Parts: sequence; structure tokens; C-alpha cells
Amino acid sequence: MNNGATVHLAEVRTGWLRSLLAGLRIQARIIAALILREVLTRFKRQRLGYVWAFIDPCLHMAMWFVLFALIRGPRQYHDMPTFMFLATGIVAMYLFFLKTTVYVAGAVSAGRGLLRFPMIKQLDPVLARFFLEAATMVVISAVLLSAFTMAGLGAGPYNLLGVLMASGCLLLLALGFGTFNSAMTILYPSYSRFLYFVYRAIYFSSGAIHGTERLPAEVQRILVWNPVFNGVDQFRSAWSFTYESTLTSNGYILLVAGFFFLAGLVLDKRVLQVELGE
Amino acid sequence: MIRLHDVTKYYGWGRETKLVLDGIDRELDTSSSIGILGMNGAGKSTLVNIIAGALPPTSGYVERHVRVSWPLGLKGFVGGLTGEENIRFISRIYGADRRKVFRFVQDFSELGDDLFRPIETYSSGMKSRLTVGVSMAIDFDVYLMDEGLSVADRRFTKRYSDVMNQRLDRSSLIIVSHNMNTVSRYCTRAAVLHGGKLSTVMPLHEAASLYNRLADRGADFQP
Repeated sequence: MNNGATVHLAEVRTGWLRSLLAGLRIQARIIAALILREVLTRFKRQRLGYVWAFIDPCLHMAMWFVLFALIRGPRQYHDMPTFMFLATGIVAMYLFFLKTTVYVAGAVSAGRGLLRFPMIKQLDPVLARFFLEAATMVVISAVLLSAFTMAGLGAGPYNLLGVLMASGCLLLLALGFGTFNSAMTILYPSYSRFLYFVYRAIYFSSGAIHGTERLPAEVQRILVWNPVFNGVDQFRSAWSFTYESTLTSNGYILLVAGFFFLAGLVLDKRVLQVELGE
Repeated sequence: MIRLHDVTKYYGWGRETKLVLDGIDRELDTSSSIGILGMNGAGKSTLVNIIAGALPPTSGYVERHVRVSWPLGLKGFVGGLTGEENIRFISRIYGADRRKVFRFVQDFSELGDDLFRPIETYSSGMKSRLTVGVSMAIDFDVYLMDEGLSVADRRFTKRYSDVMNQRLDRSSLIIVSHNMNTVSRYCTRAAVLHGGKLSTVMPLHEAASLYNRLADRGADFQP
């Protein structure tokens, strides 16, 4: 009898595991189909799409580099060469966070017709866009930063693992914030105007394009609440031996990312109460 | 068989909510096709989306013992992509063999080279043929047809209706429409959706007279 119960329990376990695996397989298939569809639509819209993806961050770096040179003359930031200081900041703030989160935030409104397929839930287009954009950004950053290092514009990463960890945290923050915003823009259409202001504020306040060492302590204490500031700081301190991180941590970024992601999931339920993609 | 258990659906949230489906508790015997008649704004699309599982009800649930299609309508395609690319996408998410599905649609829809043109250049008739073609290539027991899909197109070719009838030997349709003619082409039974409630499924002529009575009364209320 005892034996029978054990067998029964084992069956329940394998049944549960099997259905979980089957579910994951279907999920993977759906997300793969969505990614392929996304690549196709993007590529068709602009054939220069992927070339532009490389040029765009370079323009940001070049613009700030020229401005820095004109206004302040040659100097070092946190003992990093100015160009490398800007390049790491733009990669961390602009590529890993801002570009990714803007793209993820548009997932549900761009793919509302998809929701009529019963197996596709709101999170699927969000995840598809995230995986695609994250992979793209990792490739672009790796190519650009290696090229700059080889061109002698600055030293390579001092702590590669730390660089990868900070990048991962920023990408997850982009996912969390994007999930939240994709639901918010559907629930409150005027929210997107406010959001553009937030994006701009993040661009200028995350430490990517300004050194923090000369800022007053009170300002630093305020900036530390910005999770993207944390990401940029962590990224640079892992990249450069001389850059010392201020009061920032990857854990804080993950905490904020998780909060926004969960809030996004709750709002997703409300989105379905408003209307289906008609 | 599809069973709706006390399905209620509200739209909106906070203070502005609108009751669309009011505790529908019905069993739909899907051994043959069913028409659902409802006036504009009666909640037909909502009901179809809930039956398909694309939309969760606010309360209640749907029990399905059959494979149900997605709500077939003119939407749900990506306009910038070609017909063929859309077929590939739908085959992928349903895990169907995309070559087989493509050959079937090519054969059935008579869209020819248009399959390689973007959907945004399609007329609604072409979109209908594509939607019906793709869905028929994938095995479903019940096809949910939203209104607007010109199932009974004037240019309905013989081949189209042959394939459809062949399909209907094994499967059935649930068609929602405000138009009696659309329903009567495929269904001998129908139900009426009115005021958030769904009537029982009854012979077509009975449903038609109930629907007409309700429509007339509605017309009386109009100034």
C-alpha cells in the first residue's frame, strides 16, 4: 500500500513536470515566432535598420565628445580618458537602458492584433521585443567598445564579469520599466507625453554625460536614487580600474526592476478589462 | 461541446464600467454549426473572443471539449508583412507544418502572386479568403467567425464552398452576426444575444422571429 502511494506520488510529479516542460516548449515556440515576425517587420520598414543601430550611439558619443572638448578642454573624468568615459556612459544608459526600454514599451500597443490568438498573452510580445533588443544591444556594445579599445581610445574592461553584471541589471531594468509603461500607455493615452519627459530626464541625470566627482554631496545623494545612475556607475567602475563607484549597487537596480515588472503584470490584467485589440 | 459557466464581462474600470455580458450560463452543442444573432453593440465580438479564450471574462469561465479556432475576422494580420509571411507566423504559433499550410492556402484562396504582396494592399474579400484558408489548413473542431468576414461573398467560387462543406463534415462553425443571411447560409440553429443575455440555441426560424421582434422593439425606441 505504501509502495502504491509512492508510485502514485511519482506519477503526479512526472505529470506535473511534463506539463510544465510542455508549457515551456509552447511558450518558447510562440516567443520565437514573435521574434522572427519582429525581425521581418523591422527589416522591411528600414533596410538600413541595423547599420543605423551602430551609427546612432556613435553620434551621441561624438556629439558629447565635441561639446566636452569645446567647453571644458581636454581633461579626464574619474581618471578615464574623456572618450571612453562618454562611450561607457552612452552604452550603459542609452543602449542597455533607454533604447531597450522604449522599444519594449511599444510592444503591446504595436501588437494588439496579436492578442486575438488565444495562446498569445500581453507578456509574450513584450518578452519577444526584449530578447531581440537585448541581443542586438549586446552585439552592438561589444563591437563598438572593442573597436574603441583597439583603436587606442582607452583601456579595455578591468573587470569583465562586473561589466556583464551591470549590463544585465540595466537590461532587466529596461524590461521591468518597459513592461510597466507598455500597460500604462494603453490605460492612459496621455501618459506617453509624460513618459517622454521621464526618458529625457533619465538621459541627463544618469551620470552618462557628466562626471559626478565634482558634484556637491547633496546632489550625489539625490542622483543615487536613480536606478540608471546606479547602472552607469556600476558599469564604469567595473570597466575602469581608476573609476570608483559612489553609493550605488546592482541589487538596488534589480529591486526597482522587479517592482516595475510586477506592477506591469498587475496593470496587464486591467488592460484586458479596457478592451481587446480591436 | 463548449460550456459557458456564468460568464460575465465588464469593460472599463473604476467608476466607468459597462456591463456587456451578464452571467451567461449556456451549453453550446457544437456537433453542428450555430449562429449567434445580435444587434450592433450587443457584445458579439466580446462573446466570440471569450469563447476563443483570447479575452478572459470578468467572472465565470468557459469549458471547451473541442479545439476552437482564434476569432476569425479581418484583423489579426500584420499589414506590413506579406500573406505568405503571415501564414508562416500563424503556422509557427500553432505548431503546424508551414509548407503544408501554405500549399493549402495557395490552392484554396486563389490569391496567386498576391500572397507575396503586403496585406495592407489586400481588399477585405482577399483578407477573408486568406483568413479562412489559413484556419482551414489547421485542424479545428469549431471555427469562430466574427462578422465582417465575407464568408458568403458574392464572388464565392464553387471551389471555396466545396472546401468549406468538406470541412464542415468534420468541424462546425459558430458565426456571430447581425445579419440573418450570413447565418442562414451555414446554420440551421441559432441563438440570440441581447441585453447581455444569450438565449437558448433554437431552430433558425424561431431565432429569426425572436431576433426580429427584438430588433423592431429597438426601432420603436428610436426617436
